[in-house]
Amino acid sequence: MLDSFLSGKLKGRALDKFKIDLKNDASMREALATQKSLIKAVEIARQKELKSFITEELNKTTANTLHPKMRITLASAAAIALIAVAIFSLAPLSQKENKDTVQKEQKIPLTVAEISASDTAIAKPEIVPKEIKQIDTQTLAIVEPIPILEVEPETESIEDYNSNIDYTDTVEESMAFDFADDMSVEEDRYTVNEKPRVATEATSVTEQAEIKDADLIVRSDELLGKKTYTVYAAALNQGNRANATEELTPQSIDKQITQDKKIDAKNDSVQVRGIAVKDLVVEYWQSVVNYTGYQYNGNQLKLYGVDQLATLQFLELDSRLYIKIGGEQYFLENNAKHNRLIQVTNPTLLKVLNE
Amino acid sequence: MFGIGKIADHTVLDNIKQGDEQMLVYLYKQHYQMVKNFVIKNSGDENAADDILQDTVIAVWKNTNKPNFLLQSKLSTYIMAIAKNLWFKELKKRTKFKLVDEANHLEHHKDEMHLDMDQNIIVSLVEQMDETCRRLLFYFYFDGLSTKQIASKLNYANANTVKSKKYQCFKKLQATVISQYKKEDLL
Repeated sequence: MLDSFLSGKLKGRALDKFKIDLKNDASMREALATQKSLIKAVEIARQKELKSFITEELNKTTANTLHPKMRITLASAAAIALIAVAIFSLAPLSQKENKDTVQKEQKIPLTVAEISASDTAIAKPEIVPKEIKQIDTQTLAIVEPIPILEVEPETESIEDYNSNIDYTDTVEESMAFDFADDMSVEEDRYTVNEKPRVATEATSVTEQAEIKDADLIVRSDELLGKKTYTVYAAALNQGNRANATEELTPQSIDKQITQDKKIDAKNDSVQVRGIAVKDLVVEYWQSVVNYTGYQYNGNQLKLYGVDQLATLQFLELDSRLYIKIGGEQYFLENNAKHNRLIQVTNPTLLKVLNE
Repeated sequence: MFGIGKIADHTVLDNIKQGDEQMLVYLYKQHYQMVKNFVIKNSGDENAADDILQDTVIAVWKNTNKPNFLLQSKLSTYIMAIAKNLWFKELKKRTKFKLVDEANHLEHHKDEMHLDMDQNIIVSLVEQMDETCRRLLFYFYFDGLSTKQIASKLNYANANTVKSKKYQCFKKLQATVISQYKKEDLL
C-alpha cells in the first residue's frame, strides 16, 4: 500500500481512504517516512553508481582515444612499415631478374683485348669460341659439326662477274630461284644464263658473309650433273587418247588396250609408239641428307639420290610423266615440290608403260 | 562503442528502457560540448559542466522509464532543457548561500548537515547490501523497470518471484536502517 501510494499508483477511493488512515495513524506516518527515506537512499545510491559508471566509461574511452598528433604519427609509421614490407618482399624478385640478366650477359665472356680496350665497368660480350653448326636449308636439321668451309668474300665487281657468266647453257629461267638455296656450291658448277641470277648470287655471297660472321656453315644440296632426255608419248592411239577425258583406271586402261589391239589387228598397222613429246632437262642432285626423290615442274626434273649412270626413260601418258629407272616405272607429279619416287604397281598400267 | 555515427532519438530511448547503461555514456559524449559551453558562459566551469551533464543524463534515464513519459521534442533539446534547469538551480543554491547571514547560515548548515549525514548513512547501508538485492531495488525504485524486465535481467523465474524478492530485500534494508539508527541514537 505504501509503495503504491509513493509510486502514485493509488487512485480514487483507495487513495482517499489511505490518506484518512495516514492522518489518523502515527505509526503509519512513521512507516511512510521511513519508506520514503529508504527509497530516496536507494535512488541516491543508484545515481552514485551510474555516475561512477559514466566516469569509468569516459576514462576508458579517453585512454583508448588517441591524440590526433599521435594518431597521425602512428598512421605514418604504419604506412612506412607497409612500404618497407613491400620493398623487402619485391626485392628478391628484382634481384633475381638482375641475376638472370647478368647471367645472360656473362654467358658471352669478354676477350682480354676488349676488356683492356674498355675503361668502363660495362661488360662487353666476348666472342664465343668457334663452334660450328651445320644447318641444312632443306630440313633445317642441325647435324654434327664439320670442318669450316671458309668462303672468301667476293671481290669481283658485278661487271666482272657478268663477264664470267656462261649464257650458252640450256638451264631455264626457273632455275634462278634455285640458286638462292645453293649458297655454298662452287661457282664453276653452275651454268648461269640470265642476269637476275647475278643479283641472286650476290645476295647469296652476302648471306654467306653473314653466316660466316655467325660462324655457321650452311651446306646445301649439290648439283652433280645434268642431262637432257626426250619424253615419248606412251599412248597407243594419240587421237583417242587426246579425246579421252575420263580418269585413268585399271579397267579403263584394259579396255583401251583391248580396243587398241583390235584396231591394230584391223588396220594391220602399228600405231606410232614412242613419239617424242618434248625434251626434258634432268639434273642429278646429291642431297645433304641423302634424300631420294625428285622435283618436277613440268619443264625440268631434279633427281635426288639417283645414279647418273642409270638408264632413264621418260614416257608421257595422259599428260602424266613416268620415269623408268633400272627397269622400274615411277610416276612423276608435276607440282614443283620435293616428292618421293612412287613406283607404279598397277599391273595394267605397267603393261602399258612397258610395252 | 558509440564513437561513430549518431543513433536516432527513439533508438536511444528504447535502449534506455531496456536498461542499456551504455546509452548514458553516449548521451554524455553527444551533449558534452553543448552543455559545457552553456555552463561556462553562465558563470560555470568545466567541472560544474561535467557534474551537471552527469545529473542530466541520469535524469533522462530516470524520466524515460516513467510510465507516462513522452518525448515531444528532439532529445538534444530535452537534454539541454534539463541541463539548463539543473544549472540554474545550482546557481540559485550558490546565490542563496551568499545572501544568508552568517548566523542563519550556520544554523541552516547544521540542520542540513544532520539531514545529509542521516541520508548518507542510509545510502551507505544500501551500498553494503548484497548485489542481488541492491540491483533489484535499483531497478525497481530508480530505473522504473517492470517486474518482468527485472526477472529477465536478474534471471528470476517470473514477475511474482521478483515482487517477493523485492519485498524481502526492502524489509531487510529497513531492519538494518532501524537497527543502525538505534545504535546511532545510543551513541
